Amino acid sequence: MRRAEIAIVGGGITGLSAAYYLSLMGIDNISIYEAKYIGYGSTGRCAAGIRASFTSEVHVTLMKEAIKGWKKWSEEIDGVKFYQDGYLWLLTNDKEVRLHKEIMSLHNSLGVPTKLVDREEVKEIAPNIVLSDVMAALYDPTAGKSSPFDTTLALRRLLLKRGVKIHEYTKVLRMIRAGSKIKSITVEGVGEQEVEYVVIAAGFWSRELLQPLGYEIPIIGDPHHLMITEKVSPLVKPLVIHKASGSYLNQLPTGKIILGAEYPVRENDLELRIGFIIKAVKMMSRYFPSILNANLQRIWIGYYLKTPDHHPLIGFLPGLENAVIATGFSGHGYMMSPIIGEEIANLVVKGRPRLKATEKLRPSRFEEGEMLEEKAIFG
Amino acid sequence: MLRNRRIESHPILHFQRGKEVTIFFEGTPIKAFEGESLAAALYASGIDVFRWTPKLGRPRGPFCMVGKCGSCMVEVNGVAVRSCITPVREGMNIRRLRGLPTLPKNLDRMIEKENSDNPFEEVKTDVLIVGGGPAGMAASEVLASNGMNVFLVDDQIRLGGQLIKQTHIFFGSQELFAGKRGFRIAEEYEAKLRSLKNLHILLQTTAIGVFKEGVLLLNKGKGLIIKPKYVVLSAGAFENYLLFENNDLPGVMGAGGAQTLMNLYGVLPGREVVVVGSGNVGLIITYQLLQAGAKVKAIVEAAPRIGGWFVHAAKVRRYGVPILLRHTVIAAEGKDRVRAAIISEVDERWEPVKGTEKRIECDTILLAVGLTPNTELVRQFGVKTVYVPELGGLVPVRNKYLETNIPNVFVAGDVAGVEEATTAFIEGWIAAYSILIKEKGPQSQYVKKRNEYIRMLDEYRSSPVSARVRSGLRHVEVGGS
Repeated sequence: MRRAEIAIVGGGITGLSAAYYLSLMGIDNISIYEAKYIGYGSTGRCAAGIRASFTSEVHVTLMKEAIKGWKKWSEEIDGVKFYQDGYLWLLTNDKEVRLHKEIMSLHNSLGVPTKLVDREEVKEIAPNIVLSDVMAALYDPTAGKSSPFDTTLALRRLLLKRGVKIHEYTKVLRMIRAGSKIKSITVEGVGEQEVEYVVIAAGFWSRELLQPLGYEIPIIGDPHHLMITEKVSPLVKPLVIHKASGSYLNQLPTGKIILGAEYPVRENDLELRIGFIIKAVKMMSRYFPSILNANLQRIWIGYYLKTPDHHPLIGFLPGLENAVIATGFSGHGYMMSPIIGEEIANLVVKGRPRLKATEKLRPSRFEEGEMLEEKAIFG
Repeated sequence: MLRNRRIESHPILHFQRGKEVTIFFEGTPIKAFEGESLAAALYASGIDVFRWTPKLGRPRGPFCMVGKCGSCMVEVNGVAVRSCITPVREGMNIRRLRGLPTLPKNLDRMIEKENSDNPFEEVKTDVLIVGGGPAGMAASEVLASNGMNVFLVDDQIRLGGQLIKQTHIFFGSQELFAGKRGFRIAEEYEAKLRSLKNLHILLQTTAIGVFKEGVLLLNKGKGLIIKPKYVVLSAGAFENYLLFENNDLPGVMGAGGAQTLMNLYGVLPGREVVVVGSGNVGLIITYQLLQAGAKVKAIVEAAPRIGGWFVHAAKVRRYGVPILLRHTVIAAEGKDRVRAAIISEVDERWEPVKGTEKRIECDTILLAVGLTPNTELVRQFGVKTVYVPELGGLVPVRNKYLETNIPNVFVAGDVAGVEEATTAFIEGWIAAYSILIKEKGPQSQYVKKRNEYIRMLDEYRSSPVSARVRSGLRHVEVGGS
């Protein structure tokens, strides 16, 4: 009989980070089950941005902790790099400028030192920009970027070294409940595996895993396009967002440029759109015309997992004492992962999270009528 | 000192060069000819180093010569381009690429009609054919001459795929071009295609991807959305690399890349050459190098036996070229260009045996170590692929009429499994008649033709040489209604 284990369902950044912190806390029977390969889902498809400049206290608190985590990971985990290159929101009308003055005050009051900068300062921060209709910008010098591929592969290497079992192309088919516990999981090609704890970090696929147990978790998959160019010499350091259209540009340290734009499509409609390319390029080439000369290398779709209040679900599933869920990050799962992984480990090992902010994200909050507020969900 | 690498006399080829033009390489005027690729012109003038890599500052020169690798990127008038698929033009200013390319400010790829919602032209057509080698040309001819409206696109400067650099004489039946050299077949077929008015040939055009709105083509920097009823994917294959120390040094080149230089443009790839791989490509390029006046120091083969046909091996042996079995290249030496190849014996597990290293002085190492089907677009269409080593890697699953699991998406030629020009032609015809039958119903003349070609393909593959292909096909050919 195999020993009961701590099973993490999902080999994205959330599952990997959870395994890392559990391992640091001395847990030695961890298994990660990934239906495809490490980073296949939203993690490997994200735009690599990291920021604490949110408009809800819970998000800001978590992200400030996460940025501390990113700095620590950069120092402690071979292969992880965090580049604190900043975020720049381009504002093109009076209304936006007024709103962002308020948002800046909110950030500052929560300890995030964003500042409203004028056209001249924008030019200093991003010398290659064509200012065009930019009136001002909100600048977050504490934000940055990190490669999801480097990070997931670095964690994968480290976890294997620490004795974590990583099962790729191994799907968890269902979870079997006995009273107030998940007793075991059924693993494709393996059979039934007893579990001490189960961590559900399967992103979009968490929903179908939980449905048979009667849990209807309120997340929807919102497909977002991204595209990336070939490597070019440095064009711009911070991630630049055109606020009015939700379009953005992020040049990675390798030289490749990621372009994104709001281009709504339905949850199950995953066909790539030329319309997205046109929108993203049209918006961002207004400020960086030379991107029209870059070669497009790849284009793909990934899910933002949205909850009704645009905040993630982290905590014990109601009525279960050994099942923790962490999903629904609205496109911010990668950036939040250092703190989320730590909190998952705290939930499993100590029974509760370290931060009050995390407590507010408990899955039962919707039934309890304690929804949270967040106004900025792009980038 | 720069040296002229143009082949001035050749026993079987007469290079018809276009109008002479002058281009400038880092300020120095260089002679070039219209119709040739920039990479060929630079290489012909003795230039080895085309770029320096961003991270380690390593020198790079041409490798694949078909726009697949990026090793030959240079700056032309400030824009980084793959020089092997960029035609020369009078007065071009060329610089070596140092590090990453800088995006130019002059907007020669500016999206047109900036204010419209869709800046790309949209075109509906019956058939889109991607890849203008033998398979794509064959399918185009049948479809366009039977009343279908066809777009044939290819990212190269010229039509014909690999045929345009094949100088050997084909054998077999009349219908399969017996007695003709490959490049001649391409020329004649192209002339035939150019006379078909339903056929639109777009060269220097990349099929970027498959989208909800259609297939996005990029034609010399201009976007075009094409909505076809049927698709034939015939994008061919690309050359495999081999892992060894300094394998990126200028002078290490794909055998196909070297053939492009030598047979298409009349430029000698090197004077003293080591060829890696004794399959037909390795043997044929060796013979062609000898014809063009180069010296082949050795053919190195890791397997215990020669991979290609006996007739080809016998020919190169007669010229005294040693074929070293159970040997591999473990390193290249040189600073800005190959000076020597270090070879070594390999054991049963294909591992180099310590102490058996030998140094062969040479300026060129050609890799003839197989091809991989170019299936990016195939997979974008959602076509199921499986890994079949006998066919070169990931290959599309299809029925015997060459239709894939995605209705109306067909495959033909090397993209469906690495074989050769003759089978690619036949597959192109089969795919074309299958489309005609789907579109116009099972008319007897189409069905008859298709059956003939299926039989011809079976016959062609019945020889012992095709045993590997036959066994590979068992994994990808399904059903057939």
